[in-house]
Amino acid sequence: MDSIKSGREADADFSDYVAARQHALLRTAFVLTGERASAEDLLQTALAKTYLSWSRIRDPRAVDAYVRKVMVNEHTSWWRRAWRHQEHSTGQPPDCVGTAAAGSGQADGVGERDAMWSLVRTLAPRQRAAVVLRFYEDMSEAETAQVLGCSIGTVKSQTSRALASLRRQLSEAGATSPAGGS
Amino acid sequence: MDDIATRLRDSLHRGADALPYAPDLTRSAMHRARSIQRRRRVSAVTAVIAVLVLSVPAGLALGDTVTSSEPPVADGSSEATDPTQVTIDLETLPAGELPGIPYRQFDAYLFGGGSYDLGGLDPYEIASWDAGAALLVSDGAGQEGTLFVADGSGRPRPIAERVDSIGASADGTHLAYVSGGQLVVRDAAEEEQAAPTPTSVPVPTGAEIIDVTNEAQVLVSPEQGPALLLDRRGVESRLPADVTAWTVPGASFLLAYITRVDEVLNACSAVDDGANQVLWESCDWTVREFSPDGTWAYAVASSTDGYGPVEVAVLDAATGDVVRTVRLAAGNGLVGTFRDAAWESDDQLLLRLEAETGAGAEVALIRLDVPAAEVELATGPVEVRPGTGDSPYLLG
Repeated sequence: MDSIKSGREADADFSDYVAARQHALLRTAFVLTGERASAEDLLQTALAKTYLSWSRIRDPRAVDAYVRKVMVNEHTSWWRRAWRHQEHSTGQPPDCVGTAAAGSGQADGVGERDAMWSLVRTLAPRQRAAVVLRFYEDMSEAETAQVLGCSIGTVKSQTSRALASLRRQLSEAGATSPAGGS
Repeated sequence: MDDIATRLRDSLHRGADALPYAPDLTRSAMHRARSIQRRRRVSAVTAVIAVLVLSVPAGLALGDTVTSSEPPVADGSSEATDPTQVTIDLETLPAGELPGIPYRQFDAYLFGGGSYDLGGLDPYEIASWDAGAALLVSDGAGQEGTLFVADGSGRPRPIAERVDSIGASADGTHLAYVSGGQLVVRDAAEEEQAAPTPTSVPVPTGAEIIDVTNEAQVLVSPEQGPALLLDRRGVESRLPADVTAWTVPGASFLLAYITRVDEVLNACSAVDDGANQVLWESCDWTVREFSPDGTWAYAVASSTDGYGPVEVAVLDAATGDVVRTVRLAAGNGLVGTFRDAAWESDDQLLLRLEAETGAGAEVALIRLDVPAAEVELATGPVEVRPGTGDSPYLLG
């Protein structure tokens, strides 16, 4: 098995990369999971898997894409495992399995004042990933499809359903004015 | 952009901006990497033992089980020493016939010897139907698609709204689409009538069409739960979830589906004969399309680096043996990414290849003759924006 590049140079490169990109990637993990602890766990896992592939990633520009893809897939698989086995395990984000997450971002001091933020956490993982990549990472539909490993059509339909769900829930909640005060 | 999208964007950025800095994750990531690697070694040994005990058919390559967790990110160093490997050199690739199956090229859709003006539409899915080219078009702003039909008699006409997914049978007689929680099947022969009567059956939210048979059976994959095989009366049977490819060549039945996602993102998948008889399983390759006669399976590497697969394969559909692997020749500074593929005949596969240098990219449709292990240019290449997946071509 040669997936770990053993030289100090490779480790130094990896450390430099993490130092430079960690916070930006953690923010992406945070908007995916909605909770800081889960975000750190998700990013740590993604970075570990990236480290295993470090020597073979073709292009420095591809590293962010690789980490994002691992995060999205890992987050979806957390949810999928929970759905299949109907059980909760350590390390699984608390917003999984369709539980409405209003207020569960309160530990971060963010969610309680933002109805939209809470509702995003009620979306199915693939829908959430689609809107995070489209509206947080500002990726094109084609780029989002590459990360999600699906067709552009699926990105469109996932995004559309997510927006429709948010619109409906906001309407039902009577939260019709922009939240968060910004 | 509509109000809800703007609010969503603001909310995501506001939430992320409030996140405090975290401690350096480098050491903990390296520690976890080594832990993952240890588990992979243990699980690989366990998997080999399990395979031996269960006597899975001989097509499963035992060695592959051990290496299956390796993400096939390109190192650009390997050249064709493997007899199954086919390398594409765009500089010397011979020009062949234009594609023999429907495809989009710039502002036209070509099939059946005809060229149909897309009328300014920018479809993201296309399907060849005897009543015309079916074009799924988004109006942007995250809205669901509108389905148009272009039959060459004028501007494409809309036939359905809020459409999620489309598919057509290989013989072009049936078009299926999902709209508003209903699977609709239309018969091209009835389109000549004044009032065609499409069949409609309910399907779960988010169902995607995997394939449509000439007999108007449709396999759909919901967001959750098993795949559903439907005919005009409704659900005929339930099949494993996460189906990636399906075909019914004659009396046989081939179904490929994801079985698990392992520690390093690989999606392991199985090919089934439809009676829960697993023919083979692979963690290296994910089957995307079976050849029309069910002999071959087009597959992509199970894990990529986020830019799309740099290597694809054609497998023996019955055994999972790798028959051909295809990648762009290394050493010329180009990175080749395969975007999509479609079978042109039982033995010939069309691949949409994007070759990029970082400064620019070219897209071409490449034809692979599987038995002959030969590649040729079907059309292109043309220049595109690199890394975006944008293309003047779309295979239907």
